[in-house]
Amino acid sequence: MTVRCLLGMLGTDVHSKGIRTLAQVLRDAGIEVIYIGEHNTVEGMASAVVDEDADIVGLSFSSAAYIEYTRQLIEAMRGRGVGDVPVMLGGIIHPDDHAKLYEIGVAGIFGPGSKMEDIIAFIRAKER
Amino acid sequence: MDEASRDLFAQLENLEIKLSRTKSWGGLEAKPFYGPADAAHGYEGDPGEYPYTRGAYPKMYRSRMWTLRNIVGYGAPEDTREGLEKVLAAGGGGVSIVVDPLTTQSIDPDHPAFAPEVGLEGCSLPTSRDIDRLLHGVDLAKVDTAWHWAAMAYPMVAAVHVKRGQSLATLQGSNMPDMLQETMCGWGQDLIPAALGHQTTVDEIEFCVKNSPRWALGMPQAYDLRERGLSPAGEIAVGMAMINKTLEDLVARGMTADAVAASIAWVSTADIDFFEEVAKFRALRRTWARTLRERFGATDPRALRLRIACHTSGKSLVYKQPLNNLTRTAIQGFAALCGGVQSLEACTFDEPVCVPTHEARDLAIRQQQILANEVGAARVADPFGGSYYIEALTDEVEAEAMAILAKIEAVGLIEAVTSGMIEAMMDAYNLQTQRELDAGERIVVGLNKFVPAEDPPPTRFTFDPANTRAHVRRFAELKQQRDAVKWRESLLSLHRIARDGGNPLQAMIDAFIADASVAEVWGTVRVAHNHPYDPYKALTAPLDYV
Repeated sequence: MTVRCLLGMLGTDVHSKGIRTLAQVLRDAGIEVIYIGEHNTVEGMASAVVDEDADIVGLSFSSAAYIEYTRQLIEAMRGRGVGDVPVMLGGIIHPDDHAKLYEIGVAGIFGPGSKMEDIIAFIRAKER
Repeated sequence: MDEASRDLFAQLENLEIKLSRTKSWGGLEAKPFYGPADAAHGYEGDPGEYPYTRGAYPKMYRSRMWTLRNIVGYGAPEDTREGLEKVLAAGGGGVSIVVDPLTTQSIDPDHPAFAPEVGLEGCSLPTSRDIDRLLHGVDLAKVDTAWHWAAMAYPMVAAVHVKRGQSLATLQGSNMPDMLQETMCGWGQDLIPAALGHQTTVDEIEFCVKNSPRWALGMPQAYDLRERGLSPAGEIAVGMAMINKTLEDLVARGMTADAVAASIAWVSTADIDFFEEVAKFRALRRTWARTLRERFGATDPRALRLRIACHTSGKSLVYKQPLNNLTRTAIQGFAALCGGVQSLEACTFDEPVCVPTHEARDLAIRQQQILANEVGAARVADPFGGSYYIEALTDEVEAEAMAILAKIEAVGLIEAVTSGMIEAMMDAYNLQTQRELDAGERIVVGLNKFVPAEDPPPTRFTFDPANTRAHVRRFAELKQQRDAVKWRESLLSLHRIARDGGNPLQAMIDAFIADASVAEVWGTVRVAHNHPYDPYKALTAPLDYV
């Protein structure tokens, strides 16, 4: 069964160039992508994880507010019974924050300079 | 020879500098060399002469030096004020202010969904009182303030100026009223409906040209479009499509291109391909001059000669080994100056990491001082004029731009935006770039090659959020304390004018004077055009418009 990967952004961040390109690269690699775009609220995205039956969630941040938003999303996902769906982060993620992000439940971090092939391999490993 | 040493010599081939690409960064193939036959058209005229390919002014930087700008913005108005004072103390000339994403999107700092972002990546300025705090004691008739902010900047700053007892006619400064580029650059049509965005831009340009002739308008805001995913040729094409549509609409309102264009400056970028960027600035001025003369009948040299504001490319910078970015920005800045720009902001080397640290901003200022005083960047106008390659590349960039522009205008600009045609164009450009990076056909040092094995985590800019918290409390208090009758009447009046198709700018200024917030003013205009008050649909309007 192909993996269903939900991609989107939280908050007011408009820097969606990277995640849009990633969405196309993943589709070309045979991964099913549900791209929900920019400007989602935490609650809206948590609902989408349920509604879309996602196997993995990918967030991208250019904003420095990523720790707080990611924490809120993972809590909201737990509240809806989908806390087991892995969450991966991309964008401008500072190395000093990696430990904190893993602690709040992030499954994978793909910060600046990450390779597309590594992201694809990470998602493939989540196939059910 | 020990093993480590042997390995080093075995790697010698990989350590050599190699030619990795013969196309320009924007995708134009290049020949091994260029000669007289490649730049066949005759001499077009000196700098300061039509079609201004060689520069906007006859003596260029000898008569008018470029303006050195540095952007500042974080936290509460008090925090950004402190940052501005540091820049001025270090020798930065222009006051250039960046507002936080909430303010940029006309979202107030008490919006329930976005508390973690207030003041984080720019200054939070939800009311004209906040702008007054930021610029207390600064005479807006004498000091030029540049706002990295779209349509709302002008009416808010104007409200401060009027409240201080001065006239709109004396207001100096600049903003970037281009709203349609925002629709295209990730904001989408929920935040900026294309037709409303474009109309607001046209309204603001009309109002400013008539009432604040000393206020400059950064239009198009092509910087964001380039960063989003356009080549240099694409920048000229999409930018000119917006200029053409805007001028057509202003002419339909009875204005002339001569009256309008003199207030406009093109907001551009310089990416890492030195030659292509120099050629772009030259092709851009020529395209502008020809279009203004031939399509809009302009005759005034102030309308025909394009002024360009340049901010070096942020997306070209690399997170790993960030000091390499000083090399990049120096070359990008030099390209902009060889291309004849009127103002230059260099990204700080830590741009990919965070809001600029004070040290990084200091080095960005020093870099321009080195360009001005040591490199000779100001010495001669259009130093590459007559270069076979640059002349040929100027023609090539222009030809490609005209081909893209024809495609956009064949469907119409607003349709090209709302149908997703331009977005698809940018997606394709970005995907192609990513494929070239993945395949090693495009090499970026520290990104897909020459990545340092060990790189200490970069230093981040930090500041005390105490002022931001107090600022949010102060905002909530203002909403309780302001004159509710004046506030309500000002928004009702704005709603009526916007709904009936009038120019709403004066009513916006009046509403900001009455202490309406940025979300209330823009939300009222949205409601008047039958869009939800809050684009995020979490809030309803604070008054009913009846």
